[in-house]
Amino acid sequence: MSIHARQFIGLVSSTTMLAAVVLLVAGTLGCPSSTPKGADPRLVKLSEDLQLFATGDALREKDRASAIKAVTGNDADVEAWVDGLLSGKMSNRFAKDLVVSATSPVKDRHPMHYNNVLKTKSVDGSKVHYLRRPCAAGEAVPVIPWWDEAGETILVCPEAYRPEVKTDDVGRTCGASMLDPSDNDTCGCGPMLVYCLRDKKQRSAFKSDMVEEVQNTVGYVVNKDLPIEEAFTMNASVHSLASEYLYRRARVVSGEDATTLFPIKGYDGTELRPRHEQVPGQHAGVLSTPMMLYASDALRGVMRNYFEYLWCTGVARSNVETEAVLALKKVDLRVGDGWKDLASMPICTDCHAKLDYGMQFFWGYPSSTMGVDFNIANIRHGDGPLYGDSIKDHRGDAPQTPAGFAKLVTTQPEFAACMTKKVVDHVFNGTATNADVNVVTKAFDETHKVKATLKAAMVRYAKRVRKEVKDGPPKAPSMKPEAPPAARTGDQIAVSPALQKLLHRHCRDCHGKDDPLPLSGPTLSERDMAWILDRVAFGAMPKGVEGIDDETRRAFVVESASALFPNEDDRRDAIHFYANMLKAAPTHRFFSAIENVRATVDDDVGGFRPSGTESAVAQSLQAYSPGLALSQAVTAMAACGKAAKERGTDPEKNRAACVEAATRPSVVTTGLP
Amino acid sequence: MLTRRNTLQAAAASWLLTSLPRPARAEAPTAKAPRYFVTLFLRGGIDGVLTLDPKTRADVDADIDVPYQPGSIVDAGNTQLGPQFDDLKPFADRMAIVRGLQVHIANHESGAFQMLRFRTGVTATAPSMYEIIGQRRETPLAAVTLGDLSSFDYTAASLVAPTGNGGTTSLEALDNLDDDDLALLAKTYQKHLKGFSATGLSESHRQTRENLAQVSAYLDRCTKTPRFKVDPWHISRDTEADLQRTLWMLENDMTRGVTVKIQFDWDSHFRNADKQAPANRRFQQLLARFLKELESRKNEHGTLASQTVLIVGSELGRFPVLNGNLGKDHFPETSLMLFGPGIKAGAYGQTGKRMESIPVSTTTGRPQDVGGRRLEFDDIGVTLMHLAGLNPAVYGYRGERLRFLEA
Repeated sequence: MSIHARQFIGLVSSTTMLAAVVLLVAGTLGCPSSTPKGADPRLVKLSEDLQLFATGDALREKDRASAIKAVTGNDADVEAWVDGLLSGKMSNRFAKDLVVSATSPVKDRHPMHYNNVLKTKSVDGSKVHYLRRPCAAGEAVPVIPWWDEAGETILVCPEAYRPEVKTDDVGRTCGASMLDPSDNDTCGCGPMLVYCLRDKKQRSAFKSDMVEEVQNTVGYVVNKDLPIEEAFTMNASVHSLASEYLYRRARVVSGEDATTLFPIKGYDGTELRPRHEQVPGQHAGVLSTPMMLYASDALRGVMRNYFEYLWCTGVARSNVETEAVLALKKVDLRVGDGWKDLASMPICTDCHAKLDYGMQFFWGYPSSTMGVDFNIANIRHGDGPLYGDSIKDHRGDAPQTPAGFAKLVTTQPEFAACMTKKVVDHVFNGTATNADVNVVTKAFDETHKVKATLKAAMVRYAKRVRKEVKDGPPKAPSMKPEAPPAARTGDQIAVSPALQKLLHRHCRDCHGKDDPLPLSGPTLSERDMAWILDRVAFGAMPKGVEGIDDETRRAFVVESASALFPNEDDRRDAIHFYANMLKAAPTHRFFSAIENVRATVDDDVGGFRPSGTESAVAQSLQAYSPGLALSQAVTAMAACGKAAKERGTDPEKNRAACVEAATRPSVVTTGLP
Repeated sequence: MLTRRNTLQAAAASWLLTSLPRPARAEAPTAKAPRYFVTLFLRGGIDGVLTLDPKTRADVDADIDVPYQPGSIVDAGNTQLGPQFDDLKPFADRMAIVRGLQVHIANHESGAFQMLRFRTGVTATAPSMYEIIGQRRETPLAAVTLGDLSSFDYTAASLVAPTGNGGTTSLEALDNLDDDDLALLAKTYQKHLKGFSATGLSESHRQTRENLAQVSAYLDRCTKTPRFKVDPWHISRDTEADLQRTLWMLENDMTRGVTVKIQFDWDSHFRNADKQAPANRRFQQLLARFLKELESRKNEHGTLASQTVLIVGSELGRFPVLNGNLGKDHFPETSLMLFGPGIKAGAYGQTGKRMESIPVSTTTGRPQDVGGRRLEFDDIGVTLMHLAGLNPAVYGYRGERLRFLEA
């Protein structure tokens, strides 16, 4: 039997067999006590998945019976249950991961350089503060530091003070990484020591606070049920002393008296607070928070992040040629004057028109090599353009401020498509059909609200699972081409009618007869056919946030791989590889998955959570990887150990059952019961 | 170390592995395929002129940065090394250097995608090369990714474990389990695997089972081997732990491929000389130690050096002219070092007066004006796939096979 037939049968029978396996496993382990007897395991799983989709938290034991009752009821019951789930507070971190990105800085992308932290030493019975080297107590100067609410002085060595120095001779402001005090003698800590932090502990706390500013601001918008654009456009943010310190520090750099701005009182990070603007439009939701602005040490990297967050542009496939880079005859392509050339150069323009003209809106925020304070002297004046796919794709003009950028970029179709995609990926993770996407798109277009969009996706997902339980799984797509592949003529491969139809529907808008890769002919070169297979299979084509659904993608794979590989074994291997991409069952977000492992042991067990790259990976890539499986394993061990210890139960007897229940793949996957 | 007895014990559970579907169908290998593949990914971009592609002032245009005298270039027999890789001279007789590889990108994120896949123009959804090669293996795991990782280093069929982020990774947590707990986990995963039907599953579910099998076999192997412990090398704490874990995994035959991402201060947009020098100095010490360990450690299949193809390099290069911050920006070319079975030592590929790749013969790797072509990063991918005994085209690898690189 060929693998095609095996795969076909396998696909059709998979859900049924899995259900049988799960019933067996459930029977062995015993389901939680509140699970009604006889409940279909796929619906039990649906009840757990819905809870995780809505809140990121595991279904609690007290809610289990009601949840199962709802998903086994009628459509109105399901909708009411989803409404109930979404009416509660969504955790801020979960909201941020869903709306912005799961990505968080892995490296130390702290606006405050680690060498701008004061050190202390006891000298002659006094504690002196220094940056580069300690001094005699008698040389030290008494200074009231910006953080001291009581107004008490500390002793600071003269090299660590220098209140008159704000910049170096080329305009870098104190705090710039190029002015690192460990190897540059220009700056001290400035008036009231505003360019420095008290100690390492304060620096560490500030980083957490700045991360929380992003999370809490997005959480505020989602939980207040505001249009999601607000998270990127409004002036205010939910911020604590850490960010307020940086916002005020920039005003000192611009000439205001530090003593009128510090100390800061009353910022505990729990309330939405307005941010002072040195120029109108300086602030734009989370886009002008220090954590976001200094996630990269140059603005182009920041813009790449922003277009990923706002338009889901992903990491671009570029085709940079050495000659083209050398021909620019510029050596400051990154932070210097080479950007305009890049933005208009063929090939480069695909990314750089968008990124580099986008940078101009944020020009007041320098590269961290030049400073980490908003610098009013740098801002661009007047309106500037926003581009889409290239310098030919002008989307409009707006004041060159962060707010100008945010208002223009969030009104583009890519923004709506991107927000919809995030919700679709969150719930369906690669399994959505075009019809599913259309339902969620409609909900976003009508409301621009996260919870309403999420509700549409969840209800749709529940409907699909319930239908499969009732009617059986849908017919799996064929892994065979519609017709046997035609013979080649030299390098040219005949395009099958089925592939022609797919190309016509999904590709010819861009790849018409005038395109360098025209896709309208009866044949294609081997190179072009391979390109189509690769680009479509891995989601790089068709361009656009919406892309194509998985069934269509697989049809492309089958037709193009069949044309490309006359050898049956090669064809089989290529179809297998490209259709599935070695991707296992989809899983919940990392933190939700790990939370569910712990909740399987006990609702309140808490405790150990491993660090994993999965926590920063887009939901569309999350799968039951060996890495996630191992994270689940060690979390389960820790949770079961903790629970046994706290409950005082027989660890030997209960631990095996506990570990077995908490390490089942279904605890972290979606859909798989 | 994995003993013969342990191996026999492990074989009892290895039916799990041998019964797995083996989707990859390789063409007949050109030689005995290496058992292991390791990449040391030097994230940020090492400066070629200081390390793998040294130049004299006369070799290049006046504006190209060559911050040393010709006498600082290390003559290492087969090749020349830059002054900041001078400690690697003793290994030059085993080293292949490929210069002037076109990577066609100038950003780290795309570069990370490419380094894991040894292909240009790839997206995050494409499996890594070691995941593909690892479909055909005798080890529990297909591929492992360690180091200072970001989301761009994630691939969905690997054991990806970041280190040095302040938290405890799953691998570290596993190190800390006592023997009974480890045995319990291994037994539990074997049970899960037995309960997970081996046939009749969809593609996605089949991969789920495959990944479950990997973890099950890995846990089982862990119960039969000495625990991993770090022996201080006093060079770079986190990275030497990653390198030692790599050695431990190979020694105990745990994975076919390992990528270790090392993120020293190579992204030298400002003060290139100040940043590259300590990063390179530290790294060459680590590499020298790693190479020695590969030679001295062995398992039942031979020394690790005799079984391991090692690839070392960055995702992109550094622009050859200094910028206004005395730094060097990105350059869409890189050079790689390769070691191991099937790799022919020597220096291949060449760069010109502006450090640009110039055409070479794909037979000899030497400059060839007529009929030559510039070397592509994809050529390395195709060559490695051949070395592993796979048909590169089936998996989208479309470069040219570099026969000059093959022993």
